[in-house]
Amino acid sequence: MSSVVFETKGLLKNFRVDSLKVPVLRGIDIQIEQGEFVAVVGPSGCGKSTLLHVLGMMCKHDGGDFRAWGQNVSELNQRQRTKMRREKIAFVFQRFNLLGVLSAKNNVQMALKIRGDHTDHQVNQALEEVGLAEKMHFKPSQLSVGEQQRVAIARALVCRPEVLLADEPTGSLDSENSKAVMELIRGLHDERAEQTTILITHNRRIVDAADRVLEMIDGKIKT
Amino acid sequence: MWLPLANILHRKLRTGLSVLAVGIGISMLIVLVSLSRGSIDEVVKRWSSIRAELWVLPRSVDVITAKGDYLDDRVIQQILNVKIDGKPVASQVTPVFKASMHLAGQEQSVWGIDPDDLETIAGGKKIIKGRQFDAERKFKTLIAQKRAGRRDYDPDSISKSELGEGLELIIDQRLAQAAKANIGDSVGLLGKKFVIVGIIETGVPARVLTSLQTIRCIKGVSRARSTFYFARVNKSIDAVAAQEAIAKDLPGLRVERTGAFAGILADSVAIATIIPDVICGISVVVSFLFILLTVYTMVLERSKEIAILRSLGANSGFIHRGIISEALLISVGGIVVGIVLSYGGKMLIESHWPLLTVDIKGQWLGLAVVVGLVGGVLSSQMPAWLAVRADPLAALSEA
Ligand SMILES: Nc1ncnc2c1ncn2[C@@H]1O[C@H](COP(=O)(O)OP(=O)(O)OP(=O)(O)O)[C@@H](O)[C@H]1O
Ligand SMILES: [Mg+2]
Repeated sequence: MSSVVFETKGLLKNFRVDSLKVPVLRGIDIQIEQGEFVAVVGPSGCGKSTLLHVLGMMCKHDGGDFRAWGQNVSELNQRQRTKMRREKIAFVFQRFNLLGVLSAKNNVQMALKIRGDHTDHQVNQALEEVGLAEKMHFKPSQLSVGEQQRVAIARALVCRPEVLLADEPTGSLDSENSKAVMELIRGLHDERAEQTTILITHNRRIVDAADRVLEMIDGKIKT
Repeated sequence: MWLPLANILHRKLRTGLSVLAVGIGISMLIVLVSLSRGSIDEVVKRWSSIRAELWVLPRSVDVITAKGDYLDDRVIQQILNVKIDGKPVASQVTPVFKASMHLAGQEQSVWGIDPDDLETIAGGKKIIKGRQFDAERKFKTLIAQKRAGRRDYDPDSISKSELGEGLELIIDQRLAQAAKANIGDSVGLLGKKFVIVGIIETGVPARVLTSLQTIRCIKGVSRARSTFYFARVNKSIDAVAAQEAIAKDLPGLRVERTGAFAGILADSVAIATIIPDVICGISVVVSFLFILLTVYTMVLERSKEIAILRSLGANSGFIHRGIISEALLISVGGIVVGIVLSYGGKMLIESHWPLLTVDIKGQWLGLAVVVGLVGGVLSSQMPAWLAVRADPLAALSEA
């Protein structure tokens, strides 16, 4: 019996542009179970990234019900939400979002440090898993875009998160790199039975690799 | 590498300039405090050579310039007459007639003392070159003869050649070096040409010592008068008790402990320490505004980094600590640079103005370290607060 990781009912999120309220998520009902590999697709501007940020508790939702691991997220304060993100969630972004001043190794290590873990061997292991053990002392600017994304994946997975939220992880990569990164994400997902992966993509091949596809349109899930 | 360190090393020029700005502020603090306090301490140390416990001066006199009324030497006997339980409190009273002269680029105070009182005033400091002024007491004897037991005599009755015998002075070694003066050189004092006849070890209360009789004669003082006196207290009597007894019996006099000169000097020249202190304060504030600006611009250009840390689960405390650490790294660099600059400044000042004392003490270095660290923490509060408040989402989607 698998357990529910995220559950939303009528989830709302607005952005405020000047004094104008712009609804972006307009009643999302989803249920994500542990171990699932879910792809989110939809046209540009439909709110995919926003949904991912809300699920990852990077911002607050404005209405509806949002439960994470059974807890009502509305009842959590900022500190508790940060703690939940730190302990259970990891992000991979389209633009990698590595820290430019740090080496690949230090970037991966940062994820552990934030969790108060100063060990080394997991870092090396994570970089090995993404095939970058040799380049761990390189700065992001000295790595190719495909390599940068692999560092970002190593950083996300080094802490063995329960949930991986990936926002167009192959969006900045050519087809060859896309394939490699995608195989990496899927492979690592499969290796870790408990891990849930939610991935935004436009890439047909990734969609095919997913267990389930959520199609979004205009701030809602298409049924 | 540690993120704050990586960040400040990333912008080397800006970091370098901030470190320099803080370093200059810190070194101003160290040098000015060491200079103002060091100069006072140096005078106080010289005063400690005086072999007398009490300093007696007219009520009206200004302790620093010693300008004011002169006392009639009759007070010497009056002081010697003061008794506690029938025992005289003072065993010896030494008169000083103060003047001043320009030498080595600054005003030097000149003490006219009786040639027989050198030991009391100089506290055993030795003449290392040449000899004492009026070594054979010729001029002292001449004046005694003119006076012939009377209280008044006519200073004009001293001929020019007779006065010439008295125009001698000695200076301390530090002044000799500063003025590049040597035995046999002549220097102007009170409109006359004096000859330097001796150089005494540094540590005498006035850097220039000459004959009391000569100074009085040139000043046209017909009766024995002095600027102030030092009284040696009898061994069996407590100095404070003696001070109170003299002050009570001779209410026209101000009586101070010689050892209390430090406090008197510090009080009277408060202005000499307040001005440097104000300048220090301003320079320290300016250098921390520099840290604030540096850290502030760092925060502005690093909204993305902060957002990334947020996405990795960093809480406000983690981000706050990172920003403060960067400010502290700059402060620590500034403190190191400041200390190095301070020693450079000390060498520069002391080689240009050899009579100034820049006494860099551990306590001033400690003060600089504390000011630097506290300033670093304080000036990073505002940028750190901005960093914590920043919205991470906007930054994450930026290219
Ligand atoms: N911080 C913000 N302030 C105001 N409006 C925003 C903000 N972030 C997103 N939006 C708006 O919300 C809508 C949805 O944005 P979102 O980034 O979620 O779309 P998306 O589905 O991820 O699109 P894409 O496929 O192009 O990445 C857009 O219309 C966007 O303009
Ligand atoms: Mg998006």
